[in-house]
Amino acid sequence: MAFRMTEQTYLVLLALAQQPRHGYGVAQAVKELSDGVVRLGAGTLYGILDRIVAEGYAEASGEQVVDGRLRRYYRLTDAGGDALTTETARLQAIARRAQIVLRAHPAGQFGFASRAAAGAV
Amino acid sequence: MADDARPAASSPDRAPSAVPADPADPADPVPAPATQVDLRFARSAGVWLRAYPRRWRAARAAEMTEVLADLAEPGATRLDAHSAADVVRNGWVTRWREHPPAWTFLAYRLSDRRLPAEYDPWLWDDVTGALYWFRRSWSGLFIVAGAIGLANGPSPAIAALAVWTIFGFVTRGYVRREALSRYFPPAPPMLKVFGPEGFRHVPRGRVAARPVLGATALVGLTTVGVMLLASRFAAPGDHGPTYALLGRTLTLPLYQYGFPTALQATLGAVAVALTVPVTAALLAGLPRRAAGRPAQPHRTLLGAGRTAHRVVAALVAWHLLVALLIATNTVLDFTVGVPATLLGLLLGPAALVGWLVVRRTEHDGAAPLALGDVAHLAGRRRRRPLAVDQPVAVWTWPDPYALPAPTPTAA
Repeated sequence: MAFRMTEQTYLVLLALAQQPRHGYGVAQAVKELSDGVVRLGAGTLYGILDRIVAEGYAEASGEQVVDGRLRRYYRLTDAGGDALTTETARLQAIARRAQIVLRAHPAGQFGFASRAAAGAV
Repeated sequence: MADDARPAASSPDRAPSAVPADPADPADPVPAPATQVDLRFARSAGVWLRAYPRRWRAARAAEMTEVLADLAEPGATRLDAHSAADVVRNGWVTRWREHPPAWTFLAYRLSDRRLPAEYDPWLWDDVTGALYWFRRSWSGLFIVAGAIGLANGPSPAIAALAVWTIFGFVTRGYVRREALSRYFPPAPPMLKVFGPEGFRHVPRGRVAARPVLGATALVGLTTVGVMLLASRFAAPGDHGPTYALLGRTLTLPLYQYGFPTALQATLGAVAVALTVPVTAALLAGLPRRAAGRPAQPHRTLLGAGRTAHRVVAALVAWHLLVALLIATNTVLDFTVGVPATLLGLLLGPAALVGWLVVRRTEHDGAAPLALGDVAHLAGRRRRRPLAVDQPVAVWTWPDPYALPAPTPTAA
């Protein structure tokens, strides 16, 4: 099955790009990176981790048992870094094109309240 | 995206852990709560985590339970509904991701066709999971039960299902071991593998004489006993004419197939009268001829293990069930009972004689006899010495299918 880079997957890769993280750390980092919009449940999180590990974008970097609790850490691989860079460039290109399109039309043409609203896209 | 997300249940006032997150990176800004997971919460999570495949659970359930506990409200004793739904949905997505496509799956299930190696994790779960025997044989089960049901009505079909269930329960361990050895053969260093085609040498398998003769005598004589006893209780006239034997009224309705009852009883008596003396005569010199027989280092004797005991138990149970149905005039006529009785009369007493002779022969402490040895020493070539078995080359699947690691190993 072809790998699909969803927004959640992108954010998980971004969280791991900062540093190796355990599951809970990834969920918290994704929440911060998305400004509180994306809040991953454990099932969704491990589904994403399964897919990116199978794809070779991330790997386990170590385990710790702290106060009887298991912590397994994941880190980004080089392939994951490349995929993240490619996806970031793609999103940047889309954003640039979107800005060009929006600037080419006067405010209110699409029902926008102001140009500021369009500029925030 | 929003439908995949769930409200964060974590509490911002958790006590930060003083433990470094990673030896390679001691400055993790998101320390996890460092309290023990509540046992009730772990049990609740375990129930919902059953949505994931067995192999996945074995590798990841403990880790995911910790994350579920981290994300839950402090003091939670059970998984909340939203988290449970998230776990179940993703568990089944994981199952579906590893599941073979429909046609590949049907070919495997219906005709035992080998799956591509990429589905080995799924195959491992399937073979080692509960009720593998029933998953594997459901197609045959319904064909047989359907055929019996169409021919004889629903009750025999239900009886066949019951027998099938008992048989499956008794042989479930054997079926699983056989499947594991076939799909996941042992590593090459344990065996001598010749060439890329996967030929290897294995000990020659022979059927052991004493256990098999003993089992045949046990099953045969038990069958004869229970069938005759059952016919004593069966209602005369329901299944055919009756026949008085040794003062007892027997119902042996092979008559319905055109066999006079008296002829059946006579044939049975003749069978016993012939097979026992003939067997005794053939095996009379066995202890003497078998003395000094060679050792058999490359031989594996079959028929004395736990599986053989289970097969014997299943056969005895099957005949007890048939006898019970006959005695109560329930569902079966004598389609099974009469042939089983005649076969028991033919084989049971003779096997008992053979078992006694072989047991006396093996008192010398030399190599145990295979059934083939007994046949050799009782046959026309009995004066020739027994040959020493050599290893045999068998073909197996080229390379063992190593399971992919369930999780990445720690660095």
